[in-house]
Amino acid sequence: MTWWRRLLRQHGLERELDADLRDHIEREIAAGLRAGESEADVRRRIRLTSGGLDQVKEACRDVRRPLALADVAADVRFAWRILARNGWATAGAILTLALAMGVANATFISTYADLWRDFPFERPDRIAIMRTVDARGREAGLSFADYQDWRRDARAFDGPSAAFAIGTISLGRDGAAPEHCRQRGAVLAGWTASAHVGRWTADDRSTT
Amino acid sequence: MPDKSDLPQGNARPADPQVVAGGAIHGYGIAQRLQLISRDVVQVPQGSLYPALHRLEYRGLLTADWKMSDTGRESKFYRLTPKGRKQLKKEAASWLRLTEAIELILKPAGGSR
Repeated sequence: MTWWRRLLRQHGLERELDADLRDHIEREIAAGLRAGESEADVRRRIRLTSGGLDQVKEACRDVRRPLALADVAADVRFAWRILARNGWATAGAILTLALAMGVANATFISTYADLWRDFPFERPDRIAIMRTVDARGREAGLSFADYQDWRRDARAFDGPSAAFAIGTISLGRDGAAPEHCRQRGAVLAGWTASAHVGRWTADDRSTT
Repeated sequence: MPDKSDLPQGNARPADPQVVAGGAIHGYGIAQRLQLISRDVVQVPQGSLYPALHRLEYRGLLTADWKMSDTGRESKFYRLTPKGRKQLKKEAASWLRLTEAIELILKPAGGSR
């Protein structure tokens, strides 16, 4: 019989164990009575040589239980008693655990957001970042006209979900207020994030 | 009655299966037969017998069935499995070799007295 079938048949096995041991005791008592002993004497002799019935049962359970589960129930009961007895220590342990779990959770959330979470696009694996740098490798920015040219001429992207994610868009002359930004909704189909400044517009509507 | 207190009772491993090899038998019968055959030298209390039987059952060397017994109640009857029979043969041979070796070791000591 496999260990999991033993586990499922736990009650049946317990009943059988009890019946088997009681059968033995009754036979021994019957034999003792035939030999002139009293029932009390026989029972005392059995207790002296074998211990109590519960001890024998426990020894039998030990051999038939799978090792990993052997003492789990007893350990849980013992742990519960200890925790209940030492209230302050238990409260301290729970508080420590709660803090540790909170820190671990916060670390996971921030790490996940920064490192693992996909960009909010339908096809995050198709994202292309386009940027311009000057001769010294510094970020040069990108004008909206450049963007329109690239979008018109680029052949590496296809379908309505293709998009340009641009590091910096120049919206006007240096020092001057942004004048005009025209963005086609079709280019950014699939975009689910809000713009950091201003807003995205659909079709040919404008925003500043 | 011979003194059993110094005998290695728990180490007589092939004894239980050997008794069961005679046919299906309940726990009390096994204890009685061991005592009878060994002329009262081996007396296995309930606390040692049943864990041993359960261990053998757990290892698949014994199997058991509940049958109506002479007491009018159902009793658990143990019997050897083919695997148990094979294991018994192996352990009995090993045990005999050990006892022969111990006999050889003890002989000069006994003879010199």
